Amino acid sequence: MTAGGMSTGGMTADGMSTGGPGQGPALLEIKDLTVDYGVGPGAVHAVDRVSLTIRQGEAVGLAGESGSGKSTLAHAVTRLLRDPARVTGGEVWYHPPAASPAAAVTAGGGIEVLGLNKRALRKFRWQEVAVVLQSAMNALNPVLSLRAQLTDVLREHQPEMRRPQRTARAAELLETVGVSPDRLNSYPHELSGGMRQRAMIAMALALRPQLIVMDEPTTALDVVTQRQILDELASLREQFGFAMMFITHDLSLLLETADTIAVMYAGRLAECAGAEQIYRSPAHPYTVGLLRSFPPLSGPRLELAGIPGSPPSLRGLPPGCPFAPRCQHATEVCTQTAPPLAPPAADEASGRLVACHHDRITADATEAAS
Amino acid sequence: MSEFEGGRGGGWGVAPEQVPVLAATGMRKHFTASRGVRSMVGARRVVHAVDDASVVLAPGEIVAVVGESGSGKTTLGRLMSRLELPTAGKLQLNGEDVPRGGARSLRAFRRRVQVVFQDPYASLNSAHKVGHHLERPLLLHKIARSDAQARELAIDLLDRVGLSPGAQFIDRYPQQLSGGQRQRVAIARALATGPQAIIADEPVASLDVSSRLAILNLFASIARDGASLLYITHDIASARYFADRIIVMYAGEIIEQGPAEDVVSQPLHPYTRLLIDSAPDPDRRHEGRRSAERAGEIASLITPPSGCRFHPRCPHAMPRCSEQAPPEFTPDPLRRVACWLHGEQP
Amino acid sequence: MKPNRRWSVRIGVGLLVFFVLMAIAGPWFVGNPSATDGPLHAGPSGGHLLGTTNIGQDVLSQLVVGARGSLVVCTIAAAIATVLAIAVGVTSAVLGGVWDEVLSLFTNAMLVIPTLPLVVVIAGYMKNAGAVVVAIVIAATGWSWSARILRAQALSLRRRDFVLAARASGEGSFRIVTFEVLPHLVPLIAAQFLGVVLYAIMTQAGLAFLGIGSVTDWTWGTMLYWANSSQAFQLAQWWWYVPPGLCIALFGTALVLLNSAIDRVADNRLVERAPRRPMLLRRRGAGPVGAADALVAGEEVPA
Repeated sequence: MTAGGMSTGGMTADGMSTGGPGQGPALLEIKDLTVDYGVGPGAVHAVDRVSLTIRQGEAVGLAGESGSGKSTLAHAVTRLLRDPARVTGGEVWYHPPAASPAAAVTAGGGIEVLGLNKRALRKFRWQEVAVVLQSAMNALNPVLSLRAQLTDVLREHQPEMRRPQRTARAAELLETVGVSPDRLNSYPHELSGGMRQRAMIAMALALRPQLIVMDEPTTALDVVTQRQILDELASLREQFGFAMMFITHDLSLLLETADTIAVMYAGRLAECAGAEQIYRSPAHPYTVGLLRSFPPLSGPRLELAGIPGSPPSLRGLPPGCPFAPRCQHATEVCTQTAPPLAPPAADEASGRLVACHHDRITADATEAAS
Repeated sequence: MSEFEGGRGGGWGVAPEQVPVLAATGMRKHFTASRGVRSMVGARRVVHAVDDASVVLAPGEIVAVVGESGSGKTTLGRLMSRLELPTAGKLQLNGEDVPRGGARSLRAFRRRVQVVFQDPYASLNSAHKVGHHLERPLLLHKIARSDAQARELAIDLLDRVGLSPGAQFIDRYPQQLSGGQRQRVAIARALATGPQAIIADEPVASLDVSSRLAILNLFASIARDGASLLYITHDIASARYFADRIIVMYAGEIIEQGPAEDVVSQPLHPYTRLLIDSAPDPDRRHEGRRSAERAGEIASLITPPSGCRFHPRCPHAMPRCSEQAPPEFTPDPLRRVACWLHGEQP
Repeated sequence: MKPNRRWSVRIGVGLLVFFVLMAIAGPWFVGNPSATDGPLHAGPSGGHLLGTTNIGQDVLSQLVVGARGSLVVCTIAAAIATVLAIAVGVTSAVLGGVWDEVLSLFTNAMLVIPTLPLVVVIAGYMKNAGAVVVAIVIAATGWSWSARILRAQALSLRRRDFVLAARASGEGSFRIVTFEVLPHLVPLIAAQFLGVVLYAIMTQAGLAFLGIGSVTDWTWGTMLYWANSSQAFQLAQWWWYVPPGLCIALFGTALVLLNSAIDRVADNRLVERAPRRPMLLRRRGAGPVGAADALVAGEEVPA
C-alpha cells in the first residue's frame, strides 16, 4: 500500500486502506481524525472520527455544506487550525513517494503530520503538501509584486538558488498556470481575480509538492474563469502527477473533475466512492438529496425537491445518524445509533464506503440525473 | 415526476393586447468613478454599468437575467426596482411612467414592485423581530388597518412561505433562524403588499445547496399565483430550471433573449455558448477537456471594447465586430440576439 | 472578558457611582460651601475634614457641592452635544448627496477650529455666565467629533441590505434613520456620550480655572481658581487644591474605563471579527513520530 516498505506507525488494523476505491499507493492517510471546538461537555465535534485516504496522483473531492467540517478537516491536515479548534483524536500519516525529498530522509517510513515539530513542519509544508485556501487571491500581499512573492517562496525553501534562477523559475511557474510572465512585475490589485487565483496556484506548485489541498478555490470566480482554472489544474496534474484534495460545496464540479468523492455531513463522512459511482448509484440518502439539488442543463425540466430542512447546528446533535431528521427513509434505529462507515452490503468489493443503516443503493438518482 | 410548470405566460413575453407589468426601455446607467483630485483634471472615468437595456415583464411571467459579475445584471435589477435612478431610459409600470421622486411619490410603485435581496443575513434588520419586518409594509401601505390586523396578516404570510406555524416564527429574531428560513421571511416581506412583480437578485446564491431548490420552488408557486418574477442570477442551470424566458447580459448589454429551454439547448450568441459550456455538467465527464483557448477576462466597463463588447474573446469574431456594435436581430420570432453572425436574416 | 478587564470595568463603574452619588446626595450632608465661619488656612481636622480655605470656607463642602456643579454642567453639555451629533451625523449619512456634502462641510469646519481658544473667546464675552451657558458653549464645540464618528458608522450601515430593503418597502428616510439605523448605533452613541462628558469636565475645569464662567457657582474648577488666586500652591495648602484635582482626574479615569468597555461591546455588535488570539497548537501527546525526527536534530516544540 505504501511506496517502499512498511511505515513505522499504525496502518489500519485490518490492513485495508480507508477511503475511496482509487488505485495505487497511499499518499496521505487520515485516520479517525477528530477536531473539537471548545473543551469539556460543551465541545462541538467539527470533525468526528473521519478516515480518508488520498493516493498518489489522485484527485479527491470533499463535498459538504455549512457545518459539514470539510474546511476544518483541510485545516487540521495542513496544521493550520486556530484556537479554539483543536485536534483531539486520530492521526494523519503521510507516505512520501520514492521520488520526493522526504522519502530519502524517512527511509521508507511514514510521517505523522500532526506530531511534526516546528522545523520539520516547515520542511513538510510546501515541499510535500501545499495549500490554496478560500479567497486565496486575497492572501497575496498587496504591497509586493508577484515576482517578489513567488521568489520569496523559493528563497525560503531552496536557499541555494541564485536570484536569476529564482526569477526564471517564477516566470516558468506563471507560464505553467497560464499567466504571461511579463505580469511578474504587477501588483495584486492590477490583476483580475482569476489571475490572482492562478498566481496562488503557481505558488503552490513552486516546489513540486506531492499533494495540493484546495479549499473552495474557484468559488469567488465567475463560471468561465472557473472552467479555465479547472481545465488548467487537470492538465497540470497530468503533467506533474500531484494529488489533489479539492474541497467545495459544489458537488457538480466534483462529479466532473474528481476521481474519488467524499461527502461529509455534520462533521462525519456520509459516503466515499468513485465519482462515477456517486453519480450513477449514490448510496447515502444525503448524497441522493444533494444530487437532486442541482438542476440539470439538459434533459426534461422536472421538478426537483432538494432536501427539506437545513444543515444542523453542531451543538446538541441528537444521537444516532445526524441526517436522520431530514431523511425520508429514517427509522428508529437511525435515531438511536450512529451508523458505521462500511462498504455497502450489496457491493462489498467495490471499495466504496457509506454510513447508513439502510445501506441503499437507490435507483432514483439515475432518474433524476438523466 | 411531473413536468415542471413555471409561471404562466409561456414562451414569449407579452401578447399584443396585454399591457406588460414592468417595462424598461433603453435603460442606461453610468457611474462616475472618482479618482480624487485627478477626476477634476482631464476626462472623468465613467463606468458603463448598463447600456441600452430594454426588458419587458408580462403578468405571471418568470424572466431570468443571467450574467457574470460585472455584467450589469444587479444594476439592471436596481434600475427596474427604482432603487437607482437611470442615467437615461424609461421605466413603466402597467403602461404608466414611473416618477423619479422620493418615497412618497413612489409609494404606489413600491406597493406593486417588490425586491428580494441576495444575502438573507444582511437584508433583515437584526434589531427587529420577524413580525416587525412583515407588519411595517402592511401598515405603511394601509393593507392592514390596525396592529392586530397586521399581526394576523403577517402570520398568514409566514404560513404561505412555508414557515408554519406562523405564530411560532413571528416573534423570533432573524439571528435565530437559518439562512433558508431568513430568505423565506424576506420573501414573505416582499409578498406583504401583494405585488405584481418581484425582482429577486441572486436569491439563493448565499444559501446552502440543499436549501436552494426549496426556495426556487417557492418562487415558482408564487408566480403560479399570478405575480411576475425577474430572477437575476449567474447560474444558468437554475435559470433554465424554472424561468419562462432567459435574458443574457454581458458587459452591461443584453446580448440574447429567448425562451429558456431554447436559449440553453441552442444558444445563438457565442457568449451564451461559452457560459453553457463552462457550467459544470456531470454528463460531460468523459468528453475530455474543452478548449482552453478561451483567454481573456470580462470586458472592462470603463473602457469597453469598441463595437461588440465580446469581440476580443469571441472565437467567431469578424472584422466588422470590432467596428460596429451589432443591433438586435430576430432569427426567430421568439428570440433576439445581438450578434453579427445572425445578421442579414429575415 | 479577561480578569483584569473585568476589574477595570468594576473600578470604572464604582468610581462613577461614587461621584454621581456625591453629586446627588452629598450636598445634603455638608454645610454651606460659601460660609466663612471656619478657621483660616487650616489643615484637615475633626471639624473640617479637608481643612479650610484662606477665608475660612470648608473645603469638603465645596468639594461635594462642586461635584454637583461639575457633573450638572458635564451632563447637560454631553446631552446637547450628543443630540446634535446624532442629528447632524446620522442624518447626513442616510440622506447622502447634497445634504451629506453640506453637513459634512459644516462638521469638519467645526472640527478644525481649535476648541479651547474658541471656548475661551465665547465664554469670555459672557461675564459670569451661568452653568447652562457654559454647558451650551462646551456642547457647541464638542459635538463635531462625535458627529463624524456616527456618520462613518451610519454610512456603513446605510449600505447594508436591510436599509435598501426598507427603502424598497416604501419607508421614508426619517423612519429609516430612527427605526432601522439608530438601534444599531446605541452602543456607539453611549460611548460617544461618555467621551463628551470627559471632554466637558476637562474643558469646564479649564475654563473655571481661567476664571471664565461664574466664579461663584461651585465647581471643582472654581475651587482650583480660588486656590490658585490665593497662592495656595505656593503656600503648599495641599488640602485645598489636591482634592478637586484628584476628583477631576478620577472622574475622568472612570469615564475612560467605562468607555473602553462599551467600545468593545459596540465593536462586537457592528463588526464581525476573526479570533485574534495567536495560532497556538497543542503539542500532540506521545506517539510514534516515526521518522520525522530524522529530519531534525531533536528539537522541543513550544507548547
